[in-house]
Amino acid sequence: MDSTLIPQAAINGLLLGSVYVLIALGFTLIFGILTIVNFAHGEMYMLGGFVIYYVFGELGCNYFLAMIITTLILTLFGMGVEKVIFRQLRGYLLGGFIASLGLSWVLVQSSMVIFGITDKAVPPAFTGTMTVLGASFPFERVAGALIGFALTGLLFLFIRYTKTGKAMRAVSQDREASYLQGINVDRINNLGFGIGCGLAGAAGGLMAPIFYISPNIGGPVLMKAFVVVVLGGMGNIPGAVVGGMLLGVLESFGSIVMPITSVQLLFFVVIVVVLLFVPNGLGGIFDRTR
Amino acid sequence: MIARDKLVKMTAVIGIAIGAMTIPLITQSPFILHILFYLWLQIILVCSLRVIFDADLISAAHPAFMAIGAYTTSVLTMRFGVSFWATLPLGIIIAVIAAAAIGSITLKLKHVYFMLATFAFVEVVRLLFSNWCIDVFGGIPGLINIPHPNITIPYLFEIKISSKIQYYYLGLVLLMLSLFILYTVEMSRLGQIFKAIGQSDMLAQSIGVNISRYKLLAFVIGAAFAALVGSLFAPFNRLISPADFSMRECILLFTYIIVGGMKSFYGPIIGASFLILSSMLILSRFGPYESLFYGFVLLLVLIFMPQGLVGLTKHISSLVEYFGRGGRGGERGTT
Repeated sequence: MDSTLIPQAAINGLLLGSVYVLIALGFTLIFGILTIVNFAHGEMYMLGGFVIYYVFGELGCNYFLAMIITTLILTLFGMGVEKVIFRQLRGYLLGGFIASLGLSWVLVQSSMVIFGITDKAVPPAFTGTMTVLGASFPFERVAGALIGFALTGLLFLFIRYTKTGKAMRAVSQDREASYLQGINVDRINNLGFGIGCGLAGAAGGLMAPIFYISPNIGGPVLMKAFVVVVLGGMGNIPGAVVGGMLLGVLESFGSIVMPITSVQLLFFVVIVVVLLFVPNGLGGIFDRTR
Repeated sequence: MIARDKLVKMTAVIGIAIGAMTIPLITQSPFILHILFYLWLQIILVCSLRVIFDADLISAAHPAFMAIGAYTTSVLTMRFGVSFWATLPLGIIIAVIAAAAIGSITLKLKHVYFMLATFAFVEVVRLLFSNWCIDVFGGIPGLINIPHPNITIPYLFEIKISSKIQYYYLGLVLLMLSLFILYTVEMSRLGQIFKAIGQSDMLAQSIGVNISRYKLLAFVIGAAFAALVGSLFAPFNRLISPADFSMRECILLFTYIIVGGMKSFYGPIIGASFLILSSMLILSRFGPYESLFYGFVLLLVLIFMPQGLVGLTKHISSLVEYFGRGGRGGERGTT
């Protein structure tokens, strides 16, 4: 085996993992606060990609500014969606789940009508490569990972130290008790859903210059988020970080030793095993020891 | 009053059955018969899924059991020349065993986790059929030219079921049989127990119901009918591939249940019929906007009529009764 293969796979895994973390964080945040398994999450990623395509690719806006715009637009979009659809279905688990499926269909089909079904390429945001330990990495991947880490860090600070963040944690722990403490649960739900969608949109914006975008890219992304969140524990935010990095690294190493379809199969087997034996996910183990 | 209700219901059911039987006399358009056969299959699926829902389980596993039935039938009839009628029960038995195995390990999981586990199970089955023993299961392209079933009575006659009309009647017979069995289950003590578990599993347990056993039973009943539909679908479509048994199938079933209303036996039937028939009209006029239509109907129903279309009919019938009694003053119907 090539000696550069292992560091290459490790760093590729980290880069991939940072984006998975971003996607899964939104998914797990939404589940934690609203108890909704948001099957439209992949579509938020897709929409993020399209916003970047228009703002950065077509209008030629600065990439960082375009990223901020994307995140904001998707956050507002998520808040609107929550207000119109999910607020009516609060506490109705199956209803929320099915509504998110309906939303996902509507978003995919309308994007096909609006944006067209052909693959679109976003121009690269960063060019050039760097070499570490004999393995080479395109700058855009490294930059993507750094932005991903930065956003993850910001979310942590927000959840940990701001009053709104504390309120979000309170709501995800006990809804009734948060009402009693005078927390405006509706507003927290709304904001939580918005931030979750904003994070997915940001991930879409990060990946759009690297991959092609089309209305159908949401499905596989949702699968990834789903694997990560089950690994890390539903609604568990540190768990999503651990799960995302783990998935990135495992996928990167796994695809060296076996075909990619077997890797996918293995993930779903792992999900079933994790659900059976540690239903709170790997994050749950850390919580217990803390 | 109850007797009259029953009479009305019986008449309606018999009327619809006779109507369904005479449709091929009116039109022999392959397109319509194809859609209706598909509708029969979906009704069997959605009604059997409702049994599982009744027992408070949100199972996404139906496509996996369909795949088991479809692949059992196709592989055995194609590669070993076994009769279709022998593979039908065999597929059901394999699915039942699989459901019992999967159910006994996943049923202890709570709501969302159970749903996610069944969801992962569907993916596992789909990926297995795509990548495992490709010379037997045909890999991602799947299997083609699955033989049509024969009905043979020795020395008397032999019919090869191949035209749409023949499939239509085959489907209709199996649909009626399935609905009869499912309705009997619903009305029996078993159905009552499922409902009791659905309303409050703690309470059901406290009065001595072995809930894990009954949940498993509901799951297995659902799986058996899913396998039946899979076995029937394979020779009708003549082509199966793992993509036919993806999550999309299950999501459609969820849509039918929600849109029709899951509280009553006929809710899912109404939901499936409404969506499939109306999307047929839309498809033939407006092209490929089926998902968009489904998505919008689903969201509108969820937001504005959480009881589903059945809730709407109840609402209307109570209004009719209200005005029938001369508006105010009359007591409202208790239906």
